[in-house]
Amino acid sequence: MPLTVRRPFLAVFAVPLVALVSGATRPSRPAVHAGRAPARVATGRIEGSVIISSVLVARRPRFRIYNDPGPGALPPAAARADSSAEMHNIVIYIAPAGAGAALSAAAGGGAPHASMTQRDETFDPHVLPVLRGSTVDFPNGDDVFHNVFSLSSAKAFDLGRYPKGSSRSLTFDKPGRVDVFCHIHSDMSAIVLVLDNPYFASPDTRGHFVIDSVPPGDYTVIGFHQRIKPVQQHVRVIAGETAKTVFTIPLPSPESP
Amino acid sequence: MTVFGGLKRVARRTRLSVKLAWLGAALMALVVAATVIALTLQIRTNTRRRFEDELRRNQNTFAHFQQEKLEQLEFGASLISRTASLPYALETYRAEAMSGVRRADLGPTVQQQLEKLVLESNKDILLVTDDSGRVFASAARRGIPVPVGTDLSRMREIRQGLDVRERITRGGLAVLRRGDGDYQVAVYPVELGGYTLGTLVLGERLDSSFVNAARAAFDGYVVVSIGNSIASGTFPGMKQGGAHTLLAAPANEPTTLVIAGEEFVVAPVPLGETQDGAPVRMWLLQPLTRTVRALTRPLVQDFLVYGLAAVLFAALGAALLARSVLRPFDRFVRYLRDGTAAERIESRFDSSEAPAEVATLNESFGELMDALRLSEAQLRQAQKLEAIGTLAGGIAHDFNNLLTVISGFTQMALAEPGAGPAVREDLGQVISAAERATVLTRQLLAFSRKQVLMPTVLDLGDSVEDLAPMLRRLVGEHISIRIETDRAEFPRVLADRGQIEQVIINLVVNARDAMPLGGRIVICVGRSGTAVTLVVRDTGSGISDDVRERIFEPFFTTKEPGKGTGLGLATVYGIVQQSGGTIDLTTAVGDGTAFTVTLPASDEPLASGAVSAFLAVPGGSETILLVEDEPSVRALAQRALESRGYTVLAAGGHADALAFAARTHIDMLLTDVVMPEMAGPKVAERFLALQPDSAVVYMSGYADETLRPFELDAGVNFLRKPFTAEELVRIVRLSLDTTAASAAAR
Repeated sequence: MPLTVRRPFLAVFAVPLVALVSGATRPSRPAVHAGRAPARVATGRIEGSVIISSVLVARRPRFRIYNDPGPGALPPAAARADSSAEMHNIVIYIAPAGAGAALSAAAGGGAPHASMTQRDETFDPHVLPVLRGSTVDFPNGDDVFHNVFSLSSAKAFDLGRYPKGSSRSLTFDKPGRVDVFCHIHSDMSAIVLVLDNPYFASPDTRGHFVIDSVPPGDYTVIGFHQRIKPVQQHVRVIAGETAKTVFTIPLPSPESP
Repeated sequence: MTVFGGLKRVARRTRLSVKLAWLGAALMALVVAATVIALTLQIRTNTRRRFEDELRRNQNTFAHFQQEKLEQLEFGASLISRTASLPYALETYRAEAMSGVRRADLGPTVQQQLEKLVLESNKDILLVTDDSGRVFASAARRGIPVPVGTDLSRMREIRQGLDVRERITRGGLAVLRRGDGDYQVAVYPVELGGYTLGTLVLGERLDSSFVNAARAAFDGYVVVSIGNSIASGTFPGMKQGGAHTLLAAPANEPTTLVIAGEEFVVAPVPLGETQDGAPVRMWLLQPLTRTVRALTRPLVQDFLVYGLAAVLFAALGAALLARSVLRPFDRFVRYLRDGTAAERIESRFDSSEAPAEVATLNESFGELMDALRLSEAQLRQAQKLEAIGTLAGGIAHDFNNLLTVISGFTQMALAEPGAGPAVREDLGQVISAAERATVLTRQLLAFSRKQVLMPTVLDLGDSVEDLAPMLRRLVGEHISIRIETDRAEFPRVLADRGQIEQVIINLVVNARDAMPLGGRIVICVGRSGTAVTLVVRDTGSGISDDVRERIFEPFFTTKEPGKGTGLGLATVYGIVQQSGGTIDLTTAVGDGTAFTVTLPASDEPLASGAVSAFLAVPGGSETILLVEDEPSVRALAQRALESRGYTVLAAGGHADALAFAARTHIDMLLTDVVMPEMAGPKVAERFLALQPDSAVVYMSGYADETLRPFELDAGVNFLRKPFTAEELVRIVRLSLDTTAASAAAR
């Protein structure tokens, strides 16, 4: 049954986990870089929380240590106590299917701009969701050369080598996942997630997210993480109300508890 | 057993030298064989131990090699895993495949790169799996690359490589089994940003070249097994079920196995596990039997050569030793044979050159021969004496008869009233000569053992003591007599008292005659065990050997003619022989002589002491018929009996005697045996017909065969002449009592 959420009830309907931890609810920063659609009456809000299982969090150190006594061994990945850092790599967005066209049209404003910096031989941010047609700058903040490129179908490119201080820019016209690497540093990777509409957000460190000003309607909301198949939720947005949802990423399955 | 028995028989017949040679050879062969066996066992043990140590070292070395190989492969894999396009292509492919787009260009791109890398890295196989363990791209230096899409997730190392949660503690090499061969591989995760994208598999082919490389570092056999089968390499007996035996061996420590009848020391080196979980091992084999054989064969050959020599030497030595002993034996035996053939063993065998055994044998033989000679001489002497005794006995008997005739007729002539005094004188001479002749014949009879003995238990010491005063008178004052008797030992014998006294007297007289200038006689009586000895020792002139040989012969005398009869010692000899004893003498010319009489000892109680006293014998009042043709004897007997209270009817012949018997009651008949008209037994027969309850006692000087049928019992119903009054009254009393007792019993 679709819920109608009114503003004054925001605090009341905050995610219980978040409420327990913080004791107060503050509005999450909408991760919307595109220009907001003109304020109209009768928009709704999607609000929710993300729970990440340890499968995604655990990572192995990069090198095998041979001076260990005994046969060479890879130490097990250390499960991080909290999943807050991984939250940045998650994107919640409304699938283009269904009301996509209407949303897209509604977003057809001026070209938005985003940036992915190379710093300390990593891309920052690691996951960058952008609205289709956005231009992304790739400034080099390191002392070394980088060579940003992608093999992805959505946007295959090669920006070539460029030194510190310089930047290259690229417009992403086609929606889809673009895996970005550096030819020089094999460990560097990032993802530019090109989306059809501006209704997307990344959860905060506690996993709380808010997508505001969503036109009323039935939507498929996607939870994205680079390692998994996108997780889907169906949400009905009613004007003036807040739809609540919870993503568990990845979905629990018998193979990966 | 029969075989054993046969061997024993053969062994008994074989000469000692041959036997010793065989024994020496056998012993030496045994020693050689035992040494060879012991050495072989020792060599085997040492070799085995050495192999085990060596294999343990080899195990460590190869394990180390494997570790180095793993590290090298992992290092290579880690480098390759970060090669520019690999993670990007893998991640891009994966990202798009998630949304259903399968990029066809990325796999070949990677594959092309892998092909280059596999050649550069000098490895045999290189492949990349995605995070589900499926082959994404693969290359092979030799053979066919693994097809894309092949699921390798069953391989434990790949699972471990993909699973970030699992600690890869084993870090081992894996074995990838493929149709075209087996590969020993290291698995390394392909990572990006801390995420595992897949695995990179890098490896080398596990084929004969691997075995050859191993054999370069190991001089035994090398075999690689996968699961329950041999993958490469060979060893002897592999086809004959050896593979099965080998693969069933313990997994870690070196062990000794028997493979197709041959011993091997084997040790496994783990090489990893296949994707199916089958263990892959490299087996190191050292051929124990072959090595031991190679080590021992020259040794055994040497030993056989030297051993054979030793065996021959031992046999030779034993044979020589046996010869050195046996040759003198042979000579000795020949000496004996020659002596036997000649029926006389003359000289002594010279054993100075012979070994101790032969010398001892010869010595014993010599003693035996001496003893034999001595007893031969004694036998000869005894036979001679026996022959003489028989002769003398015969002569004495006839002679006695002749003497009876002579005395009889002489006495009749004396009774002739017409004889003048000169004639009577002559006849007296005849009678005295006849009496002397009677004494001689009696002595001859004693010598020939034809006397009738009446043995009683008597103490020889007492006998000597009793005789002592008479003996002292006999020897005279220039000779002293000492008597040593051991009373404590009871030197009793069962013998005839009179005869024994005769022996003592004769020996003492003989000793006296050997000391005409005076000296000393010692008479010893003693007992040792079952024998009583009487020794009469003098300090006289001694007896020479030729005299000694004949000393017991009758009529042999060294005295001047007329001084001795030559019957003294002969009589002694006869008496001792007849009493069951022996007589011997020891003598040295100038040192005197000792005669030793040995008689069997008796433990019976002594005969009654009353024997020695005439008056102690109880008398009686019975009527006795005395028949004796010799008047002096008749008179003596009559007087003796009457003095003891008996009534005596004296008769000179059977006519008078039977007349008495017909007239009056008679308790006893005392009759001579040999009488001119009718013999005693005949008289007794007639008499007993008349007076059947009477006792009969015979008197005779003969112990002839003719008396045997009459059941004469010395001391009971027979009285040997000459008798003493005491003897007479004793036998009369005894006979009367016995007869009365038997009559009462009837």
